[in-house]
Amino acid sequence: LPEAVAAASAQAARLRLPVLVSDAHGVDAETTSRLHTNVSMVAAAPLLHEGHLLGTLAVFSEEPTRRFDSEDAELLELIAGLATAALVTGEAFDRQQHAVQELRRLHRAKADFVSIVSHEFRTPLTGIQGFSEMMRDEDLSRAQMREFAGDINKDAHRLNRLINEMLDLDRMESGRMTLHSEEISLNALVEEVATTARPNAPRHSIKLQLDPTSMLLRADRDKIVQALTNLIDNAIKYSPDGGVVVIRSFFEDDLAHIIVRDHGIGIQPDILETIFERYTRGESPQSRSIAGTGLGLPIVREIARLHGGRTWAESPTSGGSTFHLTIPRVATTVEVEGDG
Amino acid sequence: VTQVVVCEDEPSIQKLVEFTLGALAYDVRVANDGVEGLELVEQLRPDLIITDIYMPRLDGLEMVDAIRQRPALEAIPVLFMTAGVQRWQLERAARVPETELLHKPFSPAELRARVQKLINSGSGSADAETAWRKY
Repeated sequence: LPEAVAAASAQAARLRLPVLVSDAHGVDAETTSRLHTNVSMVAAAPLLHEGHLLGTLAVFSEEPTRRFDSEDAELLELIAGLATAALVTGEAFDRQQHAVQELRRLHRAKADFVSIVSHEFRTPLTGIQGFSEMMRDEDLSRAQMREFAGDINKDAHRLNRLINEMLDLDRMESGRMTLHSEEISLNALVEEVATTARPNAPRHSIKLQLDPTSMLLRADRDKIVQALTNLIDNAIKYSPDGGVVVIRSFFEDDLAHIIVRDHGIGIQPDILETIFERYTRGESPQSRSIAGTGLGLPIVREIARLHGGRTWAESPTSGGSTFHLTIPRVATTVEVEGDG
Repeated sequence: VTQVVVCEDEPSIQKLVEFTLGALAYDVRVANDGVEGLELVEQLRPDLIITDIYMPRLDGLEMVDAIRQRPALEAIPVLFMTAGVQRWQLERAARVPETELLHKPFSPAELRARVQKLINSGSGSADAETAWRKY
C-alpha cells in the first residue's frame, strides 16, 4: 500500500472523519519508486457502525491534475456507508448461519435423546408388562409368582433410577444443585464404592491402589460416590469379557485424583471428548447396544465441574479405557444458584 | 420338535420370552448377542428366529442380513423385537423378507400369537408393512 494512502487511512480511522490529502508527493517519495505509483491525492473515509470502527475506505489519484474536492469526499462517504452496511449485513448473516447450525445440532441432540430415553424406558416396561400379565393370566406356582414379582420390582427400580439420573443432570446443568461439602476420606470412599460394585461384577476383579497418605478431602460425599459409581459401572459394562478393573487414588499438589482403568473395548480417539456430552454415547459395533442412558458420563463431568475439578478419558493403544477424575482438596465450589 | 432361537441381551426379556414360549412346548435356545445368535442359527437351522435389534457385537439387523445370505438359512422366518423408535431401523427391518416386527413393551399373549402365526405360515412379510406403520 502506498505510504500516503496508509497514512490517510490511519488518520481517518483516528479522527473518525473523512480525510483529504491534496499533495501526497512529498509524503510518498519512498514508496513511489518501489510500488511504481505516484500518488498525488488521497481521500479516506472511516467505516463506522454504531460507533465501532470496522475499517477504512481510501481512494487515490496518480494524476497530478486530478484534484479531489468536497463532492468527491461526499461520494466517498456515501460509498463508505454502503460498504459498512454490506460488511455489517455479511457479519449478521454469518452469525445467523452459526445460530441456525447450533439450533440444528440441538434439535438433533434432542431427537437422539428422545429416542434413547424411550428405548431405555421401554426395556424395563417390557418386563413389567410381560411378567405382570403372566401373573394375571397364567396358573403359576407361589414360587413363580414371587420370582416374577421380584423381576417386576427390579424393572421398576431401573425406571426410577433412570428418571432420577435425568432429573439430577438437569438440576446440575441448570445450576439448581447445591453441594453439601464435608471432610471425607478419599480412600474410604473408593473402598465403599468398590464394595458396592463387586457383587454386580462377578466376572471382574476390582483392584484398588489407594493413596498412601490417607489424606482427607472436602467435597460433597454423595456426589463423589455417584461420580465414582458411574465410572466403575462403565468400566464393568464396557469390559464385557471381564478382567481387571483398577481404581487408583492419590493426591497430587492440591488435587485428589482418581483413576479408573479397565481392559475392555476402549474408546475411539475421535470421541474421547464427546462421550462426556449429554446424550452421546460411544457408538461402535461393540458398544452401541450396551444398556445405558448416555447420562452417566455427563453426570460425572457436572459433579467434577461443581467441585471445581475435571474429568477426562484416555484409551491407550494397549486396549481398555482410563478415566480420570480430579477434585480440588478444598473444593472451590463454582457459582451455583441456591434452590431455596 | 419346533426349534426357536431367541437373541436378546437383556436377561429379564430373555426370561420373559423363554417362559412365554415354554408353554407352547417349543425347544427354545437363547443367544446373548448377534454373534452367538448367528452361530446358533447356523448350527441348529431353527424354525423361527426371534431377535432384538440393539445387541452387543452384532446387532439384530446385521445378524439377519448375514443369515439371509446363506442359502440354507434364508427362508427361516424372523420376528424382530424392538424398543427403538428410529424410523430407519423399522423400515429396514420391514424390508427384510419373511420378517415381522414386535414392539416393546409387548404382551406375552401377543408374542405367542405372532410366533404361532409365523411358524404355521412360514411367512409374515405381508403384515410387516402394517406392523410398523402404526408407529
